[in-house]
Amino acid sequence: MILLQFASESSAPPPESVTATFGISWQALLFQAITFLLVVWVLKKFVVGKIYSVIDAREKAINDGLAQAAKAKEELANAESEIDAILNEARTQADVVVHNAKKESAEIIKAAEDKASARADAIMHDAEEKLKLDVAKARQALESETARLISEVSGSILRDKITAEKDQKLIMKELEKRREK
Amino acid sequence: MKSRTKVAHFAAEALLNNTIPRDRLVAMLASWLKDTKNTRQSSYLVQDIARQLAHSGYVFITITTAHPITLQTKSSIVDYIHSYYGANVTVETKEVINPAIIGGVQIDTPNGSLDASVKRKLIQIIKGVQR
Repeated sequence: MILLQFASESSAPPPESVTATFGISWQALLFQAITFLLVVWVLKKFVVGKIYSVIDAREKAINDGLAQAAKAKEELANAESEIDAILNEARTQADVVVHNAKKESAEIIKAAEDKASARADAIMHDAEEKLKLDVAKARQALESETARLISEVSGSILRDKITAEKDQKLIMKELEKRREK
Repeated sequence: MKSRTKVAHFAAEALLNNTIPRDRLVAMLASWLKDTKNTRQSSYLVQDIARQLAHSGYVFITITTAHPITLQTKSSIVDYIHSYYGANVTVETKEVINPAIIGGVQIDTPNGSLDASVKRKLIQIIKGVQR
């Protein structure tokens, strides 16, 4: 019953236009559209370009900054690798230097030891030679002294035996012997 | 500075030719030795002069014996020197008595020494026995 009543009420509307229903004026709408386009043109002409240029500049600056940061990062990585290489080379050179220094010091010590040993041998040899010489000299001196003492003793005995007359004969005999030679 | 040989030659010439008195020559040589600080070489200078004199025909010898020698022995020694240096040389002798040589003779010449003493012979015998 209710449904029938509602159907009967909605089926009788008077026909009316949409513009009239919503209160739209075609002239006002056209004027608003022109105004909108004008505003859009003004904005595009004087504002949007500057905004875009600022944005582009900012974007370019950001991109440049990022590129420089990437470049710096790359340079840092290169520098680190170079530092590592330099450090490795320095360690290698230091090892070589230390090795050479140890080797040279060992050679110097050995040479000094050899020299000292040779010097000691030479000193010993000289001492032995000097000792031999001293012994020979002492022996010779002893022999000479003994011979002198014996000759003096013999001389004291012979002195009484050799008279002046016998001495003249002895000298003459010696001279004859020398002449014959 | 003159060398010792040149001085010896000069002294020998002066002695042979009698150009300078002996005492004055001795004083000159002593002065030279002192000036050149060669006083230790005086004996070598004397030997050099004797050698120069011997080279020029004047031989100075020293005869050392245990007993005084006779004229005959001295003559024999001079003859022996003549046989060594030549018959035309003049021989001047100086005799020294030294009982320490026991017997025999020792003759010192400008060119060397002849030791024919008993003492030397004894020492030679003893050294021979020692070896």
